[in-house]
Amino acid sequence: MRAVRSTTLLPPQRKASWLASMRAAGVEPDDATIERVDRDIAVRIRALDELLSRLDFHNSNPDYLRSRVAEEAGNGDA
Amino acid sequence: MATPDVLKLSLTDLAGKLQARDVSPVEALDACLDQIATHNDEVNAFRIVTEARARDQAQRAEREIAAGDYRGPLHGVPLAVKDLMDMRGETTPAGSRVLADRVADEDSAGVERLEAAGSVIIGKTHMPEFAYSPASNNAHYGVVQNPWNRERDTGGSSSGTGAALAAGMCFGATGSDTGGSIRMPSALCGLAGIKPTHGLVSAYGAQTLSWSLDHIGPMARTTSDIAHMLDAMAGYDPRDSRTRQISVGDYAAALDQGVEGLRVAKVTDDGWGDDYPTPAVRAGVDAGVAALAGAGADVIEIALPALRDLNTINLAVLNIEAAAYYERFLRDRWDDVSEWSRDRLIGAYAYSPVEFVQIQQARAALRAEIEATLADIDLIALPGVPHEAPPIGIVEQNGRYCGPFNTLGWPAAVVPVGLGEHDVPVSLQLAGKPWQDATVLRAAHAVDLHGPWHGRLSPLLAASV
Repeated sequence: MRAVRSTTLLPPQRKASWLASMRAAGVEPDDATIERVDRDIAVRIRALDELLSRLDFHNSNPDYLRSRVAEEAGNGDA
Repeated sequence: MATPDVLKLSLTDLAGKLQARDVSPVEALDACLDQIATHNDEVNAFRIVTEARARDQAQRAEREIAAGDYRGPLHGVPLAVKDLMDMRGETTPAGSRVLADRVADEDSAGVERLEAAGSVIIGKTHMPEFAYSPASNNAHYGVVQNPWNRERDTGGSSSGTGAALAAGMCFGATGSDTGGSIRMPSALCGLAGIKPTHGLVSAYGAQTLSWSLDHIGPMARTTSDIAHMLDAMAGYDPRDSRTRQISVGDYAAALDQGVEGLRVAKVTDDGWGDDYPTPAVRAGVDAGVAALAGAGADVIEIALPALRDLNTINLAVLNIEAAAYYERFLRDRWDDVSEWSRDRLIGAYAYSPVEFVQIQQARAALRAEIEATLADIDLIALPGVPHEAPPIGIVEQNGRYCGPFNTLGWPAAVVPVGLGEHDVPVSLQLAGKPWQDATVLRAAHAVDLHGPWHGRLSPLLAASV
């Protein structure tokens, strides 16, 4: 089964915390698996980081978020 | 009526003939069993055929209909269920080895409700492991051929359901949809399929992939068919806390209300900025939307770049919730889980706890944004899948237009609107507001009636003589 893989990798610190989380859960993949998945997940993490950076989480009150988004929608930004 | 002619009927048309006693439930069952016996070894749509149980049900339906005790449009109709839904006394492997030996001691809600409506459940259809793939790939049970072009994939994860219906092995079947798994195989196999509003259909007794994104729903050859199935499947179930105590619609009865005055927004900017959808998909969507306009809908164009963000959230939530559910197998039965599933599941550990909270906030914020943007819109029109069915063995990440509506929990249906390259179907997707499933189905039905598809049959089914 073939899937297209990117050349993007997780940043080193991020990779270290990923591996630590798996170890803490008792999940211990081999090196080949880690290398494959690194490329897949790096793309998704980057897309998520980009999305989350566009939303302001300094005020994490959901009501604040809702009103802010509604305001943007009203201004035609949404 | 000769066997092949029965198989070429839609569920709705078969129902009329069963009620009129032009065809008997046992004849319909035997026609399906013959088709499975002839083609399943190659197509690989069914994992098991439950012939004894089906024959009992068909004989009972025959007696009841003859006695004037007609239960409705599913009475005596052969249906199938995806292999993640429990059937009492049968295994529910959900495409996996690790669940292969567990025998269900009761029926899932879907099976229970379809049988209560008088249908004849003839077996369980193949799927990728844990339903976690947009293709039919499965290291344990093999791939599934698309009856439109048998070198092409069906899409996933309701892959066996898609093939079974397109091949005329049954008249309707269930699927599950966490990021497009009803709509993608429906789109690639020339079928109608609906992911209902989250909480409309009970998932009790169905194997979980992602508890906040999973939906159970019907697939069949026409919108009328899936409306009849949804009539039977929808409704509150105290055993599934996600279902709501609300009155459900009479979906089949609403189909003839038409689309006059409905405001339909055709998506012109999906936020991706690439070459998709393919020209054939664009042409099909245009033809479907033109059919809606011709039937009286008020069509406008809209930019919805937030679709890409909603898909990003879908992929992250699905990944994390799936890993939370299946972690025990990653830890204890690593070698029994396929490389494909392991690779996908372990990616979840790359998300931090803080990000998971932010993902939930982003989901709420994006829902509010979309609600505001679409305040005056009844339906969104966009492709089901951005391309035609890929060759077997190639997994395309084709859920970009489906995942957003799992994130939102809104109803979304696909209907076929043409053939693309390699003679495989392309589809139009129609998504509506929460609990407006009847509106979605009305519009899909209008595309069936006035669009370019005209009830085509797959080459495999058309050649069945």
